[in-house]
Amino acid sequence: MFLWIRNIRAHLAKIERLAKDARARVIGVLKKGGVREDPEKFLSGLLQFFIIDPVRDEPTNLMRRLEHLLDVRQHRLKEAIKRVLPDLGDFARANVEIMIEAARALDIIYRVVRHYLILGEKTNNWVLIMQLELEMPQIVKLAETYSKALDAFKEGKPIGDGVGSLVAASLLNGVEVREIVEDTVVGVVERKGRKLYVIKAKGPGGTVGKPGEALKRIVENELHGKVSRIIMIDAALKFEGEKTGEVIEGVGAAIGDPGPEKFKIESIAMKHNIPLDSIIIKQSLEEAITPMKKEISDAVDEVIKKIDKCLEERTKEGDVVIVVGVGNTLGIAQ
Amino acid sequence: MQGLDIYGLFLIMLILFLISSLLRTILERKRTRKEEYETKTLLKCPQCNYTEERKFQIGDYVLKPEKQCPKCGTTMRIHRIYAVKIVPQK
Repeated sequence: MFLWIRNIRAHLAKIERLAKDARARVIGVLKKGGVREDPEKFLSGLLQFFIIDPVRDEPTNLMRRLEHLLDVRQHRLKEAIKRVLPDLGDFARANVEIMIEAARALDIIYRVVRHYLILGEKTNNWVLIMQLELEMPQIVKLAETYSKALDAFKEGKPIGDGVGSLVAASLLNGVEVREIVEDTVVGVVERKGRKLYVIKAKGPGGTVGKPGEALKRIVENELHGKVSRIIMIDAALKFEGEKTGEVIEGVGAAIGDPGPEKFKIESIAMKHNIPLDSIIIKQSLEEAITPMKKEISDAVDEVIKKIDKCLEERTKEGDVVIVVGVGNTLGIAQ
Repeated sequence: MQGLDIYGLFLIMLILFLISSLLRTILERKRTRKEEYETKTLLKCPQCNYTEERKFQIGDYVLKPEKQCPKCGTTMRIHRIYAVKIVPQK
């Protein structure tokens, strides 16, 4: 047990170093952006900011309650950043926001590991210590991934998770778009004789937008349910041993949100009986939050080929189809 | 005395085994060095499809209008931004 504790301590020191380094990098960006408050105090407040899960024993309106809490949290964070960095542009502020999220993730990892180590030592619980020791390599890898992601966020480089947004941007290819919901845009393009409504988060700042709400408004308010198909494109986690950038087709709402957006998409598709197709691009967690690898970027052309095939085989000329490019749109405009 | 020799031999073999596994681990660690990546920006002309690759610069984003196409003079745009593995020079 002594050896396990010593090993965990060594790993914990590494995680602490990464968490402190992330904190220092965020403070550096805040100072560079002309922060109006004490950056240390401001960041400390945000790192420990919490959200209490809604009651799940009573499922009535669970998704709406969760969405409300997520919205409140998002607005609080946005307003706090806007208050201390009023001179920074929207996109630069969005990048600061995701940098804070990554620093927050590292801080949580550090505090959770330290908690279980101290708890195991205090109660002399060797099972707890052994579990922690066995999990440590994966935990350290996760912490290193978040640390690497910070660089991409700082420089505004597209990340692997943004491949869905990149497909949407390639389809839009600079056509006029409008902001249908906060941080979410839609543009209309003609392809293979079909009318395509393409939805993506508003770039090039780091945001995921609200694709579910955007889809709901388009289907219900604009198209009154007259949609032939919904095609969703998103990055998906691969299994170890699988090829990065592999493009796979399936059905269902391809979106990895906490629930509300996915729920809206499924509900709308079911209510209007619209077939819901999905195309995923495989990658690891590390690849999803670090600069987009060429293999992932190259998959965009293959995804577009699959969309074309889907349009030809499963829709008719003149049909209306909605394509949703899901993912963080950091470094990707429209 | 005979038993002690067998134990001694077993101990030496065990030590040799431990040293060899330690050396093998160190060598493997050296061999599996962390891969390094460099971010590139690919510019493309929407008119003649001429492409040009350069190093990523802060402020780059996909679909950003860039310089004029050297072939047809149309404004080129950033087509892709991606990370490529750095091949170590021998």
